[in-house]
Amino acid sequence: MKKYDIGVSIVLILISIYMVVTASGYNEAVSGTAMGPGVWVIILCVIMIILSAILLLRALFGDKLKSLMQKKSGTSEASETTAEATPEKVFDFKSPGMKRLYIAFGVLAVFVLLLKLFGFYIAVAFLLPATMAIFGERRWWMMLAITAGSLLFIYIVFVLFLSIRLPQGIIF
Amino acid sequence: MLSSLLAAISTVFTPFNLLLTFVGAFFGVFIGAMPGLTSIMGLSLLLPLTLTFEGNSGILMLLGVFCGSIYGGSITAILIKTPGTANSAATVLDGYPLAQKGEAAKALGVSTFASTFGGIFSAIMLLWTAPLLSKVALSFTSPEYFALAVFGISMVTSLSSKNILKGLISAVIGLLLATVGMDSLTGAKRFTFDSTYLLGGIAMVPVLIGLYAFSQGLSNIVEGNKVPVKSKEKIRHTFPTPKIIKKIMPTVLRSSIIGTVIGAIPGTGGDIACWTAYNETKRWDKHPEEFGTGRIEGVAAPEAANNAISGGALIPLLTLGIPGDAGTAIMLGALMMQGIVPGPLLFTSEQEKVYIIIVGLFVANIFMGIIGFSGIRLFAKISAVSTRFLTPIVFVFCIVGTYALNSNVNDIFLMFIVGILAYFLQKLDFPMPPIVLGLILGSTLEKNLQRTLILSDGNFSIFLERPIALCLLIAAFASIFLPPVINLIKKKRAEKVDVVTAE
Amino acid sequence: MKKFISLLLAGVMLLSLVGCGSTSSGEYPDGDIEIIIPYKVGGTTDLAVRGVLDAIPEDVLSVDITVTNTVGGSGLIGTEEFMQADADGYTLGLLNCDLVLNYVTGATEINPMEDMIALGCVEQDPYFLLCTGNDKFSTFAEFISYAEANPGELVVGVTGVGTIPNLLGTILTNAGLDVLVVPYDSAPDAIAAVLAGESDICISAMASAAGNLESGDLIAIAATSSERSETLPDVPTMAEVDDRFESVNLLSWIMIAVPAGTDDDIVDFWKSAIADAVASDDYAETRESFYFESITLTADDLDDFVDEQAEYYKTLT
Repeated sequence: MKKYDIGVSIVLILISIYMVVTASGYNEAVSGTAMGPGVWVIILCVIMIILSAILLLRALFGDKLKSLMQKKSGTSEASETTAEATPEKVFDFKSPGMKRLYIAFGVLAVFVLLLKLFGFYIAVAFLLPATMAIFGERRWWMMLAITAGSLLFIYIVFVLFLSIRLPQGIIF
Repeated sequence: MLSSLLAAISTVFTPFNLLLTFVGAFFGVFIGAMPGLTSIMGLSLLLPLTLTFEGNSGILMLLGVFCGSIYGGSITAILIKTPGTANSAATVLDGYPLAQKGEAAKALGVSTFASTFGGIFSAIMLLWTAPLLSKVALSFTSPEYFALAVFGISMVTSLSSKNILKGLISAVIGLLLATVGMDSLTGAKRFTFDSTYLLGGIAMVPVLIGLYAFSQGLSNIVEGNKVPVKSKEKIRHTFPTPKIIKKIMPTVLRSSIIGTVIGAIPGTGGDIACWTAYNETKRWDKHPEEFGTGRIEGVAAPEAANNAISGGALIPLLTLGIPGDAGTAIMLGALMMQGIVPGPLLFTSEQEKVYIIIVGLFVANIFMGIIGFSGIRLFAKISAVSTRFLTPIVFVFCIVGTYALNSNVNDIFLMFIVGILAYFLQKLDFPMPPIVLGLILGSTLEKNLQRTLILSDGNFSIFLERPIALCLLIAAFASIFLPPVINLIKKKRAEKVDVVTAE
Repeated sequence: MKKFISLLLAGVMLLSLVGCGSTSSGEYPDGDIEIIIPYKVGGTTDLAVRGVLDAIPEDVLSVDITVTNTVGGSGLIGTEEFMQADADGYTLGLLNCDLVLNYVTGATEINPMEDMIALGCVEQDPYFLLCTGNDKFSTFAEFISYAEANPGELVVGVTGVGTIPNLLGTILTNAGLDVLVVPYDSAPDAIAAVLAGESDICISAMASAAGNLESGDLIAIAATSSERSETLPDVPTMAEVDDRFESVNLLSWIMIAVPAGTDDDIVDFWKSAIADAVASDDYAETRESFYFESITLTADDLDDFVDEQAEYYKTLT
């Protein structure tokens, strides 16, 4: 967790700094208001930088502080914060689950491409069986039935009943 | 008042509106009964659909989902020890032992009865207290609204986060997201990167669906296929006997009151209410040691309480425009998108709408009861659908739901991005409800602060001169800073006790 | 596989050719017509436009009209989508007061006067100045004298930059009144602030104010149009009360439009269809339920009216 907290807090601080710089340009040319459009953004970013900095410091020096505290108050409280003390694996990037997630990202990328090119129906006709396949479904007739069923349901409810136009592609 | 109430009743009791409320309640129970699909997910997925209906009908449908999804979670809690939503976690304690003893039907009957009662009770309380409270709220001006929004966000942050620091960061992320787009008071374009899409700001529905539904789908993928345990027992729907009703009535009534009151405090949620109700029931009982082994009161208490939340949470939502939790935050968004601006003015200018919501809540609870008593068998089966089919279908509904609202493909991409980020943030213990509340209340906060400062000529001391605003701000700070301090004190005390006993 | 794809593509092209052929052969309109409404479903703009389109009889227009609501960016996102459509009469859009104002202030590049042809007006309403009628003032004349006697004291609630009611602030300041102008998110918010005593006066169209006017919580002290309103004929216009407001003519209006370059026949077809629909009893019902006034603009006056409003906005920004 510590590793990630450090990463997240640094990213958040950098984004906040960027936002402060951009937002300080917003206040010109607006008259008659006590608070320009950039002020609120800057207030929020300052709060964000403070919070992230605390998170960063806690992640960097939290353990040292804790061990110091423990030395002072004896050893009675060693197990209080096990969740943070024991190095747990938040992400196991090589686990089969994460591998499935990477495949899912790939499927989504293809989906976006298909959506742009061919429109909603073809893209969904790809997304449904592909996602089922990620879960290990191999029975083609099951995939076909669910895909066809979902598309039909969407067509009836959204297109016929609610007359919503679904995304169209460039080619279709 | 009476004429608006009658007008509201005649609006709600049209065949079409009744049908939509029923469909909403059915969908809600359905979503609630499926482990891994939360009520918030149900609300955010159905929100775009409800917006395609004309004003009142869409809201009635959403009310149905709102009530139904909380109840649905109890079915699986009792049958297969898996609460469909966090609100039903307490129900597992006595519900599952009852099912094991072969009394599942009795437990389900009681849970349906208690849920329906709790829901209707809270709707009556809403009808009674909301107009009174709105009169008080009518005198609220910009500083008070600013303070209220701060209070709402800090309560949600402190209650929904394991780690308050991360909860606060989540809230600020939400608030910052709300600043994107054209500032409607000054006309300034903020963080739009010259794109017309961002000019309108970051839309709420794609973010909601991404945060709650799509990220859940991604997490299902990582966890892999899960086939839920099937309940072996044959279930018959049983309405509780008069004897049982007499036995549980005091519990149901007490828990309904607890649920309504806790629901009315912004920032609290169903889970807190049902744990409190469960504990109180245990405390008042002559045999507290029997709880956890299958006491019927142990099912009635949390179920009455978590459904009483629905009415309770609508009290601050309708009178002040401050949502109590993520679920009511979606209701707030839905109402605003339908052109209804919750707040004290709603009670004077659009009284009929208020009563439509209250009457709708009654009807939704009654439908929920009917669906519960007649459809338990079906829902028990549904809860056994494996995630390999559920997840792809959820994905498709995320996409259709997002697109249906504004007919904008970019919304789909935004939903994907938010969902992926949310998956990782959740893994890192960043809570989602503060992000939602931040996004929804962001502009309320900013604009009321702007107005306050215009009126006070840039002087922040105006907050000190307003007693209500000052109290709310103090309460907000207390809710953030007190829990860690209390924990610290408890820890110190525990240490002292340890030392004493050691000596 | 490659063969299959190329075959598929060829098939698609063939089909689309056939499709094109059929639309160009018949007489207009010969296919479904789309209208892009840049505001949300169920809002007043949406319902007003749908109301007019529904009031067009079957024998005038036999094809279906599909409504697409593309929301966001104060209506600019949908309008931009509309501007990308072909000027073939099969895509309609909206031209309203906010769009003209946004063009005048430079918030958008779309020039409604040159890029669009207005077909008909579906809504045209004055705004009203509202107050609670407390002891400070209860007529517009009293408001002016109070503001002059107590500079910097009165608070005026308007809506945000880029909306027509926002211009009230400029109008009052230009007339030399020293008042505090506070922008609110929407007309209902501005009204709530008057009722809560935060501001002394606000501006709103009839639709948002009707409930409070009927209950007597608010009174209308002036209309912002150049002529008295039809719904509240007893309320004077700003111009009537004081010469400094002689030119004031703030109106809320919505028109249906096609992109510039559309065939004249098509434009004439729609102008007469919409004019009939707007005058129909069907639409009168819709109109009354929203407290909209009857529409006096005729198809021939549309362009002059838009130009005139644009010129007026220029004097205020």
